[in-house]
Amino acid sequence: MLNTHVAQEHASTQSRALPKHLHHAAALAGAITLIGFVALFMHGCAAAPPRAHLDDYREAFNAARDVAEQVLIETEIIWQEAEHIPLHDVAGDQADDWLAFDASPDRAGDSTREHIDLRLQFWRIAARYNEALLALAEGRSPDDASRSASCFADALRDLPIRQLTTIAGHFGALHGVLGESLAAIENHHARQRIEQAVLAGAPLVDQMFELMREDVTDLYDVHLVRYHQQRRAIDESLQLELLPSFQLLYESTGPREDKAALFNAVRGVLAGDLRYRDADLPAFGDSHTDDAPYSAQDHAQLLLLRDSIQQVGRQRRAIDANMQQTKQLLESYHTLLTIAQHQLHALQQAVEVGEPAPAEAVLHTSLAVFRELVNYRQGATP
Amino acid sequence: MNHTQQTDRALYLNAHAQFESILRSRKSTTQQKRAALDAMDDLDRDYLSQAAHNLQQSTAQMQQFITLIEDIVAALEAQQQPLDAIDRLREIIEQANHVLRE
Repeated sequence: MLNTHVAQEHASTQSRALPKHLHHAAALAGAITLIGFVALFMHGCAAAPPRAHLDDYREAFNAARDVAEQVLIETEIIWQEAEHIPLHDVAGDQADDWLAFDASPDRAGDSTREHIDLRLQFWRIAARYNEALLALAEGRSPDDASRSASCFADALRDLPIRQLTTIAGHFGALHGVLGESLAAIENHHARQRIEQAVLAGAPLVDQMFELMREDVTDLYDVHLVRYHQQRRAIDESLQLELLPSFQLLYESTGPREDKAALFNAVRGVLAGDLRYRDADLPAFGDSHTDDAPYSAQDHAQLLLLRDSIQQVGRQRRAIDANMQQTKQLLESYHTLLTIAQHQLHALQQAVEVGEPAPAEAVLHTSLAVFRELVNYRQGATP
Repeated sequence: MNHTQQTDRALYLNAHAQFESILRSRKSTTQQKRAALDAMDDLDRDYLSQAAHNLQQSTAQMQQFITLIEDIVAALEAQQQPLDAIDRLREIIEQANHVLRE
């Protein structure tokens, strides 16, 4: 609409006979027409993403990245510590794994470290992508703007600038609006480049976020297995060594009254820290306990076994707490990935749907320049 | 987390609970307890193997995406050069401004 108005106004002005001494203004009009073309061109372009969406996305990304690095490093340690993990032959015969020999090149060097490193690499390269987007948003770029501005600059270079001093009063106003136009052009082209960069890169980063989110389940499973391996080690020690030894000593020696405190301490650990069901709690000494005094050595041994069982209880509490923290960490990580992904979608949507185009600013500026010229001509005409 | 993974994890946890129950039971013999511990060990190895295998598969997919993203980033970073034409425009305006002040 505005473009049409400018064109009509321009055409009606051109149809009038110009005084000869105003030929400089005609050259000026050429430049202004060029601005108009730039404005028309820009008006048809897609709208640009708001900077706020980019900032929101980068903020969410950085938060997810911080947690990701922590999660990946933690997982790497556990993964590497796990013994005999058959990475390639999932369905193979586990019993004969150690006999397998595979010297194929693709297997050589294929380690946990490489899998983790690749994930860390994503966060680094995606951060560089974000910085490139930021650079574009700040107008520190691009070649498209350079090409378009080049034509504009060439046109302006042909203007008889020294002669324009004869219309100094009017040039002052023109200078101002030219500056505004230039800023609008820069801004517009930078935003166009962001659009292209977002449309090209965001779907890939989005897919990576999706894979990272799926990764969380497997990372959790690695921690879950580790947790059960730790529990298993505790149970093995408790069930095959500590409790049988304690029961043997307890039932073979010592006065019943003295041993009551030891008995309660052990049952407390089993029922409390290890969460044994009542039916599973050991019933020591129902038929074998005698009241004969035990030797100092037996007493010391019983105390030592009690302490060891209590230590097992503390270990179990510690690994439970650690697993709970790991679970919370991974849940937070998953949430952060989801937020970052949503912010990326918002950025993409802003590119596709858009907001008021900067081309409008160029158009208004061009119109202001044109009106300035019309006013000048009207004032200069005898 | 897909349905298969949910099912696998539920089976894993359920199997662990059953073996642990055997391990803790007063009625279990030492031999039965050792068998339960061995079964737990196998169970953990299988499940860890599956998780590692899934991560490895994801790695292969990620590698492709990362390569593409790297290409885009390299192209974007290469574009971050001084804007000659914009600079020339500014020079022209500055020149005009200078002439105006003379």
